[in-house]
Amino acid sequence: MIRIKFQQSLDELKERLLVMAGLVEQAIQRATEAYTSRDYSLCEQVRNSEPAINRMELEIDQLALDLLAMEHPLAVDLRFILAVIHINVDLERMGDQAAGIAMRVLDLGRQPKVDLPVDIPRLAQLASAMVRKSLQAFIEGDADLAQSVLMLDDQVDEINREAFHSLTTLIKGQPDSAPQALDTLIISRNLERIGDHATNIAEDVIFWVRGADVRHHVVSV
Amino acid sequence: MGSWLRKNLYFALLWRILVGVLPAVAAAMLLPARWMAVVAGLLIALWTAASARRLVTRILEQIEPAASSVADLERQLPEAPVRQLEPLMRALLSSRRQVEQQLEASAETRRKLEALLDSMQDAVTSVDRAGRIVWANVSMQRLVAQLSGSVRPGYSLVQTIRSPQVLECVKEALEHRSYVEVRPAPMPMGRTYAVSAAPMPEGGAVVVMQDITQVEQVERTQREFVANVSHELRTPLTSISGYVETLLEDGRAAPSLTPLVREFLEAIYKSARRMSRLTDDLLAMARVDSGEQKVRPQPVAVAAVLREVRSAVAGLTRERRGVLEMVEIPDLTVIADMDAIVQVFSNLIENAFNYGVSPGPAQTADAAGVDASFAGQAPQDARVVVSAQAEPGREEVRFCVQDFGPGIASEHLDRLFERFYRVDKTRSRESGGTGLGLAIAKHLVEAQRGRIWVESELGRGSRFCFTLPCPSQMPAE
Repeated sequence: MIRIKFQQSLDELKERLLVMAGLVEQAIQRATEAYTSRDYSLCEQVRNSEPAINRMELEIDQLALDLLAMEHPLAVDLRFILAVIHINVDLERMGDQAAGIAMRVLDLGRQPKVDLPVDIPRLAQLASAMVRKSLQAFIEGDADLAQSVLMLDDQVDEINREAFHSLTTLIKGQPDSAPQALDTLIISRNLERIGDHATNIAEDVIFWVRGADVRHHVVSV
Repeated sequence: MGSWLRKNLYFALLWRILVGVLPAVAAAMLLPARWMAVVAGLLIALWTAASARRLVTRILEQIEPAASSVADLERQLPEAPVRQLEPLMRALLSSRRQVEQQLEASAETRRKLEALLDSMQDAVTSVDRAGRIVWANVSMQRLVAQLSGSVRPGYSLVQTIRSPQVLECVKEALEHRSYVEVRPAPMPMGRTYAVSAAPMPEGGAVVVMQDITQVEQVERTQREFVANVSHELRTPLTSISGYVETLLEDGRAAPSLTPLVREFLEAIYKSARRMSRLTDDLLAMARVDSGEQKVRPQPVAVAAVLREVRSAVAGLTRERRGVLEMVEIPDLTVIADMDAIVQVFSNLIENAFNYGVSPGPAQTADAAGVDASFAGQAPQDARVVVSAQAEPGREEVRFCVQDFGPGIASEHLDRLFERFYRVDKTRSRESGGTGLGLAIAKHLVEAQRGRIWVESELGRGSRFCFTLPCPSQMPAE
């Protein structure tokens, strides 16, 4: 009976984390759509979703700590709860990155429009795909799927590096466009950070399922 | 069931032995000469009882598997072990055929239903009362696969779809046992869905998700087009109106205007004003559609609202040479956005002046002057009554704008608040109406949690009413 209750609590923890993930994914989607469509009402929606994400982070943390304190989980259950605590932090940071993008888009809206040589939609698409895949790996406990997310991170980093190079060159050549270029550079950096957080989630899934710590490219079982 | 029968038979046999045999033993004790006969009788009785027990047990053992295999359609029913049991076996066989037919009918219905749901373009899934997925059609599986996921029957819906709008919609349908609709619900990959959740009689809910990405895109493009065009039109129109007005009003600018030139200029002025009103209304509608026009309701006194309205429509009333009466002003407060409510009243009162009076003879420019000329057939003594009163049984205040014109035929009443809907197209053109005033009023009233409707009787006039909530109905922030 006690075991069933513990299992139900673990399920609840997982479900709450996924509800929070839904809010974060939507915030990222709205922020990137605001950039492409220049729909500034979306920026406001992103900022409005932040308190709910922060509140859920605290609730999930509390539930996870209660389970650790009262149930003394072992092995895979212990690793699951530790993974949830890490993923919870990563999701909240992703929400912050989305809010950062929304702020930059609002700032861009106050300046004259300039054509910039950066493929932000492509970067956003890749980062969102990483988030979706890492969460799917978490849902299914699929370490192989989590491993595939780690590969995508290299592509995101590459696009971000290219963006940095193109924009710094543009700033040198067209100083008048520097504010817009800087805003776009920060958006690119925000998306790259979202990719990093998705990678962290994937690593947490691998740790939960295989018991292996693959952070910093070091495998220890 | 078998062991219970067997146990009862043992008790029955034991009871017979005790009742039938013990008195015989007692008699033998009293009569020693017949003692041997009694013992023999006793032995025969015991043997008979044992035989009977074996027979009954064997029969029960034969019946038990037959009875238990009635519902197990994979197993054959055994033959009847004894002739006496044949009717029972026939009855079991008949029951089994009925079960088979019912199961087949049920499976057929299920197959048809699944084929029907799978052929739908909309994604459909059902959840149980705990919110766990029970079933999903092919479209739903395709949709989830596009999002790098998979449908997970037996697990909570959030493990399949994480859209906050979808989860909230399903949660509300399960908790309140009512139909809930959300539109638009943004989904990953830039898709937009209309989601509805309907409760099922035995608990749980059915969720239907319709892809409206293209519809939304078309609507957005239309709205942007209307807003842009209206904005672009307004600038030249302002110049046209300004120059013509100057020419007409200021004799110094054009001291030698011939009557023909003046007539043409007035025609230009009239048309420019009408186009200007049309673009203003189109822009107002575009603002409403885009969510740019925010409604911020707060407590305001009814008397203050009506004072503001009187001031806002004073020019219009003068222009139409109408009479605006305000009656029954209660000492009440409503939750309203003052700007929005003044706009609602302005639209309704202008509508009443335009259509709520019997058309009179067209006035000449000379008689009506420049300001009144664009009003077209401005009638004499156009009277509009504005009233406000507490709505009985509800915590609302009802505002009404009444005219005493020709009234509106009942077939038009349902469509009156639609965009560009006109009862009399010719008259609308003459009066300068844009066909958007009532649609804007409806949107603004509903945005303030009110209702709007029209009551009309041919030959007696029309009454446009709307409600606004009182402060006790204000939702907690």
